[in-house]
Amino acid sequence: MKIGILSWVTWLPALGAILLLLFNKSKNDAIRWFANLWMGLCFVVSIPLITGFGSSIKGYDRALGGLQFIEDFEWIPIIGTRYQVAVDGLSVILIMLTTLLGVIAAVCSWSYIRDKGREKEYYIMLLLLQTGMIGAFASADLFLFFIFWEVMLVPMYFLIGIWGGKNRLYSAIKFFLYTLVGSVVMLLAVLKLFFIFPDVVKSQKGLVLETARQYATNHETGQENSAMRKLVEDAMRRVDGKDVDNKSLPSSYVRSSFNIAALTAIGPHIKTVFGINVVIWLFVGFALSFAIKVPMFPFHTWLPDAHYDAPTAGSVILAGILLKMGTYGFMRFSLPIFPDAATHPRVRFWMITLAIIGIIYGALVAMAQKDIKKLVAYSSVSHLGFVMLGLFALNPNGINGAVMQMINHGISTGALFMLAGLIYERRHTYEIAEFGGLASVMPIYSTIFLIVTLSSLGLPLMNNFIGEFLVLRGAFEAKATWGALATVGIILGAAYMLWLYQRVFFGAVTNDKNKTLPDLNAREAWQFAPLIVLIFWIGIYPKPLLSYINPQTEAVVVQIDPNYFKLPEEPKMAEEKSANELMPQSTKTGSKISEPTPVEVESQAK
Amino acid sequence: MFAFLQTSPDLSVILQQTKELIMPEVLLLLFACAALVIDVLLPRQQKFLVAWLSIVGLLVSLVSLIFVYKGMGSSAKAGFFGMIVIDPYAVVFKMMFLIGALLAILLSIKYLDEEGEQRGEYYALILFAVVGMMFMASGVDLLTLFIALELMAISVYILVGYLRRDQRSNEAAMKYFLLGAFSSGVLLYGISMVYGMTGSTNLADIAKALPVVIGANYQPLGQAVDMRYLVLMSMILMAAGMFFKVAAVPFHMWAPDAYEGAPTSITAFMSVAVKAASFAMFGRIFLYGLPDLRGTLEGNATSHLPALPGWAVLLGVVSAITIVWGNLAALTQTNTKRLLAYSSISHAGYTLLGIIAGNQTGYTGFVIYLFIYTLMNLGVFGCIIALRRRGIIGDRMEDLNGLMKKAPWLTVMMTIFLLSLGGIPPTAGFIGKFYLFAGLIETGNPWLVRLAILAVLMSAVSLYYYLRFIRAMYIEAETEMQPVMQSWPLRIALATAALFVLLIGIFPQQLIALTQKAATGPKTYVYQNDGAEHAAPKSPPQSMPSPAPPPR
Repeated sequence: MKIGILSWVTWLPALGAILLLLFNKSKNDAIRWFANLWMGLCFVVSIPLITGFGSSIKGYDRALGGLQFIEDFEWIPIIGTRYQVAVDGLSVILIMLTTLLGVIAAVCSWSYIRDKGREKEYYIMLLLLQTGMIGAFASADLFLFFIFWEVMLVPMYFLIGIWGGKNRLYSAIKFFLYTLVGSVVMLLAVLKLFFIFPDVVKSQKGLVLETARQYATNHETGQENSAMRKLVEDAMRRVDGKDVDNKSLPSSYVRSSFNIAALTAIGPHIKTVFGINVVIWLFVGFALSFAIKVPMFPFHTWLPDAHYDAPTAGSVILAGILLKMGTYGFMRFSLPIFPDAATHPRVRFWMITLAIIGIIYGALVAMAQKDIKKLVAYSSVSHLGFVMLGLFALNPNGINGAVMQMINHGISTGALFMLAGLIYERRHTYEIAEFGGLASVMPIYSTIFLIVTLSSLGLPLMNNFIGEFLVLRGAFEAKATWGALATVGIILGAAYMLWLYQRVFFGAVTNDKNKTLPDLNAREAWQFAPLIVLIFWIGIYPKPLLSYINPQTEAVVVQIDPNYFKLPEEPKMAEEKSANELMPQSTKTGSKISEPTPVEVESQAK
Repeated sequence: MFAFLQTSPDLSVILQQTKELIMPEVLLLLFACAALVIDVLLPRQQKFLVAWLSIVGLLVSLVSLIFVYKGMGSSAKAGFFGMIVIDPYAVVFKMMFLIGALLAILLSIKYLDEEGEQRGEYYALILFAVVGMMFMASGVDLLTLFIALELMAISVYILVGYLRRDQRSNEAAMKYFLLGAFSSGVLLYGISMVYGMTGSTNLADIAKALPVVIGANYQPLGQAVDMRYLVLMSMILMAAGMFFKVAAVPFHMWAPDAYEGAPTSITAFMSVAVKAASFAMFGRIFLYGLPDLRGTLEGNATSHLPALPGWAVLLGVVSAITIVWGNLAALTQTNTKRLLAYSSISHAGYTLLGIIAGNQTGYTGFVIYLFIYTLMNLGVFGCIIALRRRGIIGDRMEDLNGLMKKAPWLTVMMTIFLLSLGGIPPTAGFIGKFYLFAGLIETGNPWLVRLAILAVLMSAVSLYYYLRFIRAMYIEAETEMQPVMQSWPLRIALATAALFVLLIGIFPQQLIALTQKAATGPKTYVYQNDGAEHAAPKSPPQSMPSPAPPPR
């Protein structure tokens, strides 16, 4: 039994938390140093996921795509759950973002938590949260995913509840209950999916295998990920009462599987066996949970509270990673497992409508805020609306853009929350009216703030531009109205961000308390370095990042519409992709996707 | 004379069956009697030795239970003229009771010193109650079951009123006794009616006779009689008696008062072992004795007999209101014991879901949930027992304030138990809830899916009040400075329970396998699936489809 790198990346933070338990509570300096260094170690250990290390570990192979670094161990055979971790291009990027933001979150809470106290518990919670998030991204088994998904809530509850601001108790419990309601409903949908899996496999075996093959194939290079296919085949063998080693299962074992790749493979065929209603209800069960986490428009009310009252590191992680769980869930589960629901006109209409409402409403509310942190929190609602719009544009541009935007939002908004936290440490207020003319008092701070502000409003050559551009392009391809409406959000975004900057930094120093504010010290300034590098790197040269995302995006698009890349007038489009192009399929029309395909599905069933 | 006895074939059969079937109970009974005797001989300061004697008794009984289980072979074994049966169902429940009593006694030792009521009969009564419970799990005759129930109930009535000088304890005992006696009467009334109709008190005979009795061709006096209403009446009476014992709404009124007034260690014991035993008997009667009354009792169109609902509908409605009411009432409580009483009411509702589902997964959930519930609820009460110290009863929410500072390990363990009660992974409670909901979802019946949705939403509500504990322990500032004194037996009990709650949560395979065996006994039931699970129901719940043979 060999423990692979992915397990190390997942469990190392938890190991750190256990080691922290051994520290004496009063040795605060040692605890802080240890936690920071351990977070750094976790980041370093995760780097080989991209670069590879020596001869034994290869980095993520983009040409192959699909799930890699697969680890597969027996766990609870009686219900068909296995300890399976694996990453695809999407999750590997998000894991890297998590480990990086983990370091930054630890560093940026250096002085704040020192003043606030209870450092040992704080860093233990931070490390446990890290394991929860990485585990959720790395799980290839829905049961395992669900466990990590719920485990995340507990440390976050404590982070907000113990080290948060004035209203922390209310915000913490609101955050916990909102997300919990979503996830318990998802549990029922997971169970239903688990129980229909054998029936679908039995009646549609050939088609399921075909879908599995398709989903495991990189559509650019044509390479097939056989290890990923084997996961599906193992899961399907269980339906026939055979375990992984082809031995027969005891009769009391449930003949089904939680493997995500296998559940994705049955996705397009649920409709033929159980009808569209079951698919839609399952979709709703998953989507409710993810939509609360994202958060989409009517479910967003927990977010401003949680952000406002969370400590800086909590806000950074909440904005950077936790919200991404929701959009990740849509991309990883909702779209590929329930393509029939995602393309269903009513469902899609509502998802897009809510996304657009979120974009505009979030921006308008952000503009009205009198408080820096609340403003940034509402800007999250707006930005996440873009992500949802991109995902439900259901074309490669939109989905690529959505994923880019997920990462960009993590970087820019994370940085904004850190900046808000720094000013709070100095003045103990977030009130915009309290400030003014800070540019002359704190030049380094205002420079960094300017860069991040511009990034957040989507200035070209900065990261958000790429994401928003692709999302809008996808939206316009799908339907011009959607794109046009979403563009309003970008204009509003520029307005509220620039207005914020103007009110806080320009003009004369009006408040005497601000005259003597110290500028950033070395730690405070340098913690932004990696984020700023990423802001420009993604903005100027996004291709490396896109090359991780694109295979996954294409797999999802093909899952939704198997014929997407097989248009008769443009045969083999994927192969013509030239290295310099951002998006090869940009000439496609997005409206293609919204055409209903039940006839094809039904004819396949016969 | 003895020589004569030994040659008597009856005696040798009885001895043989005693050895094979009820050895654990007999041993435990002996220890209980020994505890009573030794209690008189010991001086006042050494009464706590009786506790250790009882613990030894429970361990011996547990070991002999394992031998009985090993000797049982693959199938069930009946004896004592068909009154007692040993099957995995009984064995798993007996394990539950023994473990529950073991932990409860460990939690009590220091607590009784604090209360100044360290006396031997306390432990003896617990052992007698456990003997009763064990017979409740393995009795297959309504009379055996009833006598076992009374043995348990009377012991527990006394234990609830054990704090003689405490008014609340006295009141609780009185209330519990009066209502308990009343509900026993109702149960007995139901039993007598069943006996009248079927001519037997044996569950297997009843199960065989009932389909005939409710059939259209039943002609006891030479002419056809519609006995279905009478059968339903007796079923409802028995169910009402059992609902009282498991504290299901609307028969739950006694629970908060009894839980609040009883010594906390007895509250802990009542909330797990007594409840589990009542559920064991519940399952025995309904799953083994009345399996054919689950679905619709078919009517006859020609003679204008309407179809009547079976007990699945009754249990479904009761469990729904139990879950809702238990959780909502718990939200506003300020006394922790009362709060946990309401929480345990809601957990009774969850447990019923397993019986309602009626499939293998549901039955497994029913058993595994009770097993897990035993560990986690005892743990929570153990933590509250630890708060009892000079001058502080420790059952107000404020008493938990700032516990993290005073007793970090206790707090962490309490957190584990609370999260487990709320069903948050990776604790055992999640596995239990997972199985219960899986059972409901597997049936594919739209009404049961709705029930599952209601239940999961309510489990999210329950987190609100479990988090109130956590908030008090971690976030609120200390309100009083007196340190918490934890005795080592209590620590051992809590640490073991916490460890198992986590272990079962992460590696549940062994426990699932064990409980699954226990759940293979009862007859499974297939709700006719109309295909469109979530579509609008075509028929109201009263006409749940009749049983169909399992598709194999």
